Amino acid sequence: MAEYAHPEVLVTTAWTEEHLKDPQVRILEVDYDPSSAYELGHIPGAVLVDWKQDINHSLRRDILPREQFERLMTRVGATPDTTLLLYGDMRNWFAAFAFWTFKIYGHQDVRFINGGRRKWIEEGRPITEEVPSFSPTSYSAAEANGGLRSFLTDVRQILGRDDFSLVDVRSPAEYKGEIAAPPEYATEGAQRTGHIPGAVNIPWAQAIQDDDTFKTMEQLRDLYSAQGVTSEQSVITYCRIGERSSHTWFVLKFLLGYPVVSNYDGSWSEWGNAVGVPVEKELAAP
Amino acid sequence: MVTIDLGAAEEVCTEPGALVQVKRAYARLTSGERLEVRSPIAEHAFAVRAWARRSGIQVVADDRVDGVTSLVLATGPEDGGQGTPPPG
Repeated sequence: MAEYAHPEVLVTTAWTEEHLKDPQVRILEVDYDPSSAYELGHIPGAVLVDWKQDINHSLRRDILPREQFERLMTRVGATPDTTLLLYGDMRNWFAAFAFWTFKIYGHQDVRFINGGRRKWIEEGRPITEEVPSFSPTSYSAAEANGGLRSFLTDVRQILGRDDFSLVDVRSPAEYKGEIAAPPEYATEGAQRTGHIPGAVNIPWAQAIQDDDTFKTMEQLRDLYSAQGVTSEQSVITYCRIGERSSHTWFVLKFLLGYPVVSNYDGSWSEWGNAVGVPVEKELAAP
Repeated sequence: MVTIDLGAAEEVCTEPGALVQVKRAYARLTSGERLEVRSPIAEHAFAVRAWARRSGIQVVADDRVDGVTSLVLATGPEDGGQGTPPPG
């Protein structure tokens, strides 16, 4: 079986349990809804990272600014040399989003717990409701790496170019324009439904197995190349708000090793509300 | 008894998360009604048990058959539960 391009970014649940007390390691549970996950029980020693409060800008729609990232790392007791292990609720989407932002700010050693909460619980590993605390550190982050992120203007400029590939990782119903966002996600709606012209639809979940671990290198390579998404192209991923697409960004960038992959976190909740941008949609038969 | 099957669909970005679905279904019960939650996923069962414990809701049955966990939640005191269902 071929190895992933960067196998060092994944750890197993067993490795994680062996390192629960390792001072070099900090475990972070990144949740969209902590009341349905972290607060009910988490990996011993794991610190809660609340996606809405900790990974987003407090006022405008944006990822956390550099100073906020530094404060977050200080709070969780991490230094630039700390090994950060991420997992979280919603099948690790928001952990993937955190991974993406941590890489934007240059944290070197960020890893995913392969399978996350689902696999950890399935295997009957220890769970606690105890909230840990760590001595604050002093953390200085790098300037943001803009190459990992795409904006609406970037996407508009590459429409129709065959050296770029746009990957829409939403559900087929969202891609086809049958739905925009369900009522449960009131801030994620859009004026228009459909997808960005030229985008291929490869739902994020096709990259994982039932236990939330990633598929093999061969399976992943076949999945994306079958849709014409190859390492020779620059790839932009998107979904509705950029969290599912950061999961696919992680797969393409670190497991398959595609050299140029960025995440368009504005995604459909921006594109589908923007005036004058082109939209592609399968029209129903009359 | 009302039954909710969390294993039926898992595109959670186009529908509420598993425990949110359970909380909503439970909140709609009338006193004395019971809610059966079914799922093949251990993470779901863990969350329901933990939420029920923290909310004072009695789990009157907890079985796993053919890879599917079935949890039955009680409501009012006459059903063996603790009283009024908590909000959300």
